[in-house]
Amino acid sequence: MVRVGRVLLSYYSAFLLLLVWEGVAQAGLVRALFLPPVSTILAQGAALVADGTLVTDSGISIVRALVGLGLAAAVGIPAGIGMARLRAVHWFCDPFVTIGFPTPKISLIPIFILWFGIGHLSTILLVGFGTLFPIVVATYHGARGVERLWVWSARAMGAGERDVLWKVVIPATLPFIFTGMRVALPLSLILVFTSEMVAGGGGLGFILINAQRYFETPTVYAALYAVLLIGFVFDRLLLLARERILGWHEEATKAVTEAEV
Amino acid sequence: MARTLQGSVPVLIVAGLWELTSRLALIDPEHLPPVSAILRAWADLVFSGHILPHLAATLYRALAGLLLAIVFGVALGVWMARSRPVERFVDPLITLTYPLPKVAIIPLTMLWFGIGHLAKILVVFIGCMMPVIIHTFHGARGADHLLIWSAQAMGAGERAILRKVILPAALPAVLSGIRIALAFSFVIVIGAELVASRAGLGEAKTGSMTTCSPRSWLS
Amino acid sequence: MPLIERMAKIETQGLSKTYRSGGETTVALNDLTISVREGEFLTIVGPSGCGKSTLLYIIAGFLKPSAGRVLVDGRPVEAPGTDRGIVFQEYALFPWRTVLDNILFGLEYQALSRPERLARARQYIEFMGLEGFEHRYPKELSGGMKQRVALARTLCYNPDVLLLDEPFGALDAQTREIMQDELLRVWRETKKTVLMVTHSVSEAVYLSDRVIVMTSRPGTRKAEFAVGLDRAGSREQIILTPAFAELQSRIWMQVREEVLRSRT
Repeated sequence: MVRVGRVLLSYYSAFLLLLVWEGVAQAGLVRALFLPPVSTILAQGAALVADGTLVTDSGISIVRALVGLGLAAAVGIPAGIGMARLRAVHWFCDPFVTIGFPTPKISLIPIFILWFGIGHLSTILLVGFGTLFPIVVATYHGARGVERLWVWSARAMGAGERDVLWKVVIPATLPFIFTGMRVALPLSLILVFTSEMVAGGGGLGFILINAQRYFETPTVYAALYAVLLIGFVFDRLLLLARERILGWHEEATKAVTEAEV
Repeated sequence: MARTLQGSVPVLIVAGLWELTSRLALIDPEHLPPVSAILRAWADLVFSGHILPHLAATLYRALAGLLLAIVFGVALGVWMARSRPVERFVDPLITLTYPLPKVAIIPLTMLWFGIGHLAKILVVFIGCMMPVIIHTFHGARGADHLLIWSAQAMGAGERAILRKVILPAALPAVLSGIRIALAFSFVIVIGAELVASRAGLGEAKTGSMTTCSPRSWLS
Repeated sequence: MPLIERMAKIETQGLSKTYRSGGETTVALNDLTISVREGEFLTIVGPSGCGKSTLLYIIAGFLKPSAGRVLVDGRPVEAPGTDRGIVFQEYALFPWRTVLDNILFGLEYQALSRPERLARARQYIEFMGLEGFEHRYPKELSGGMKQRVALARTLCYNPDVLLLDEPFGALDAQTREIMQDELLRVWRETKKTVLMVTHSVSEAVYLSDRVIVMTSRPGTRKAEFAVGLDRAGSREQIILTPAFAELQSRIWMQVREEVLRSRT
């Protein structure tokens, strides 16, 4: 109980801000079209949850993001390890990574819409393609940087090529894969929401942009709160998974709020 | 030079396959135009000068937002590192809002400021500020205490310590924050432009020919 | 091949190693011939960068020599093998494995059942004084403990030869002495052939039967000393004898020459 109280207290500025927001809006200092009171937004949010729209569309966005991420990881992790271990794979993939990594994948939204329509498929493939590069690059760097002495130790103890891959290279690369996922996760949400805002086809992004078009400001804010919540929960879950899986790692236990693009 | 040449071989292979697929109409060329057609369309756009004003607008929005974010973010980051109360106030706000995909604010800024420059610059500013603040804060907080103590021992005041010890110590972190923010700025500005221009499918088709390459050249 | 009193356990013949990076070639080892007898504790000392670690890596089979060859038990070395165990200065423990799992690693390639492996691992955990730390991760251990784990991990699959690459170089002075005595105990109890490299002359004299001094780069043999100290007493008794001091200073003069030469 005391612990919960202390955590809440440490977030005092957030509550303070919400309170000021409520006061300013209630007093009519800003037009409700621009800044409705927090209470109105929460009420609207509750109504949208009750009639199911917010839940359904959040679900759509989340599924698209996660399936896309899963695809990217399924392709990107083997590709990154392959690039680090096999010269031919490196030769073939490296130019594409060099070109593709710095390109803002968000600019490909129109092409994906053109090719795959405006439904699940185009969004999922966009997320998969967009998050592929940070995962490949992080995995590649991890697998490249595996300590020579670890590999040597394993060899000296009798490990063969396959054992080195499964028992040394992959575990040693795991922290880097997590770093890649930490970048890819917010990126997946950005791509999903933007794609939904541009193309429609349901999802939270569509709710946001649609509400904006019809000037339903409380809905815009309520959806934004939902987006914030999803982003926050995703991030925490990933950190939690990292802490559990990478308990052995020097830095895994200290939570860093850092992202690389 | 030799490496660039060697590196271009796989790209040429894939481009060749693409060209072939499209030429042989294995996939409807309407959907997958041949590489040569894309390159021609792209060259036309560049030489006709149609793309330049758009490019300029994008650059202006991204860089204006980024610059604001750097100025504000560095100041706030250093202030947080030097003052506990400021840290206690700002830190939870950043922790809570950092995981928010910033593009989601676009509808809001459109609501406030319409679809002009301001709405986009504001989103870029908000999005870019986060990494700058966080990196500056960690860099400034990580400044070696022995250095600060020796500076104090030699009679340096708070201003001198800031300028001569903390800022130089934080600089590498600040730069890596800016590097991340730079990448953010283009993602956000392109997202904002896509959303705010309400690109229809017709526009998207020409867009597919243009957005492919020039963006990547910029970042 | 004529059989001398005892066959050499490890033999290097005209071993050379050159590295090429960019346009520059560095000669790390030049025509080095040494042999280590079965059960002997041989130490190689030399200035840093004289190629003594390179020598160990070639014997272990991690690096290929540019010229010459290595024989272990009369057979040429082609690749790493479980007849040679190696312990590095940096421990090289797998950080994702606990102490117990690290020690089990080498046993996973031996024809043993799971209970047998566990029993063997436990035996060496006890042997190296690691009881109570079985389920810790390397990051939770001190340097001395990590080196104990590394030793246990290597000893437990029972290689004939121990290659020690500056094993105590990363430890503080006190821990270092304790670990030296541990190593002496291990050597006496297991009767393994030990080839160690170090740049500590006193460590070399205290531990070995024989000491070889290497020149600075390109490394080759400079001088050789038989130690032959009476090791009956305690550490203090041994290192305070005139014989110890005299030998140490003679070796040190040789090493010093090389250190000074490599600076100029």
